[in-house]
Amino acid sequence: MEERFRHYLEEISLPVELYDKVENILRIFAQLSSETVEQIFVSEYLKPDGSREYESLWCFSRNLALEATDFVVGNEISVMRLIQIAFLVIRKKHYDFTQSQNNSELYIEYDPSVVDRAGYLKASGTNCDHLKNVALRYLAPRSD
Amino acid sequence: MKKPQTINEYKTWLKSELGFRISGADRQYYYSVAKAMREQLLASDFWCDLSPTLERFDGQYLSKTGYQLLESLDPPDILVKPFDSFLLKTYRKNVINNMRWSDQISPPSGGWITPENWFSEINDIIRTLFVVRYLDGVEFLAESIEELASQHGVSCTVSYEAKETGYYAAHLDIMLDCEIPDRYWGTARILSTIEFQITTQVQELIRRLLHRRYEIERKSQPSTSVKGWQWDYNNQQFTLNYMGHLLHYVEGMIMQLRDA
Repeated sequence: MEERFRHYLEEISLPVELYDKVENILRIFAQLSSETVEQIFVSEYLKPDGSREYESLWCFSRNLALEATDFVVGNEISVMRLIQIAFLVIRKKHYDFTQSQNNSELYIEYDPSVVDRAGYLKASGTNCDHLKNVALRYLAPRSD
Repeated sequence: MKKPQTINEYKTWLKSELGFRISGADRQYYYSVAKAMREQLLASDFWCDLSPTLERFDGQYLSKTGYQLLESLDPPDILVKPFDSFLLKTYRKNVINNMRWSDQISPPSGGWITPENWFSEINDIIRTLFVVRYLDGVEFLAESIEELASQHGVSCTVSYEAKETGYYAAHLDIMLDCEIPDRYWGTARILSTIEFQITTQVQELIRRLLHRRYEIERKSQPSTSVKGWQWDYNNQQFTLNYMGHLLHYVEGMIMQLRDA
């Protein structure tokens, strides 16, 4: 696993025991596509005790997005072509879309135009900055 | 306003009349909530106590009747209702079975079921099935689980289902205080209902045969045929429904023979 991915996982406090799962999913992506994974993202939300509940793992390349749903215990993987994104909803809380704070929260909902593959990603704290970058780079509707 | 006739018309109606657009994000969120509910049931004191207690229930029934109660002493799987079946159930409650909506649009007696309340209103998002060997085992196990729930301070409501379509089972609605992911931020607490079903081995076999047909049937409006399925002896529904009734009767006869 690339060092920057490892740093990201450390930053969002993903338990080290799950790193193997992330590596395995990255390997699957490499088998599915010749494109290089440019960014990974873990969708998560805060629980009342302040800990994070991790939902899905995303791997983004230039044209593809792989989602490992409920990756902590699940085994379902789906891959989507990013060119089809046509609709985006941004909801933010304690977040100016520039610099995250500890209590920041961000919710991004996307909807492809041609297939029923809409979904959402969630982030808390510093992970909001990562989600913002993902949204702007990969999920924002494209005109091409 | 004309009642929606199909699930796709229902989705359009939800958006135009109630303002709820159902998308893949709702499907994703549904499974996220269902996962949280399932995990909390599995971690609950009630469920942790129930699993080993099944052996005791089996022993009590054995000493009472001379026969074993359960098909298996292993705790049954906890299942999550598929989102499509869940949405279909809200369609049935809001539209098909809504007797208050005749000429004018009117919500069912408990109000509309929408994404804002449906995790509390639909009672079998999480469900499990206990299979007993004999007909009297249904009531025995239902009462035993109800008593155990009471010991744990868990609300449990038992109903004995006997449907015109030949479906027979006991349903236990177990109330669970759950912390679920909120649609957008953090978490929320809801009171959800988990469904425990208890049926016999024979009925279980029939329900497996019936399941697929029920799903197809529920997607459409009830038949307006004057004759009804009870007279349509060439129809598969006639055979399967009466088989359910017939087997229930036979199981009752087996009880009389067994206990004679």
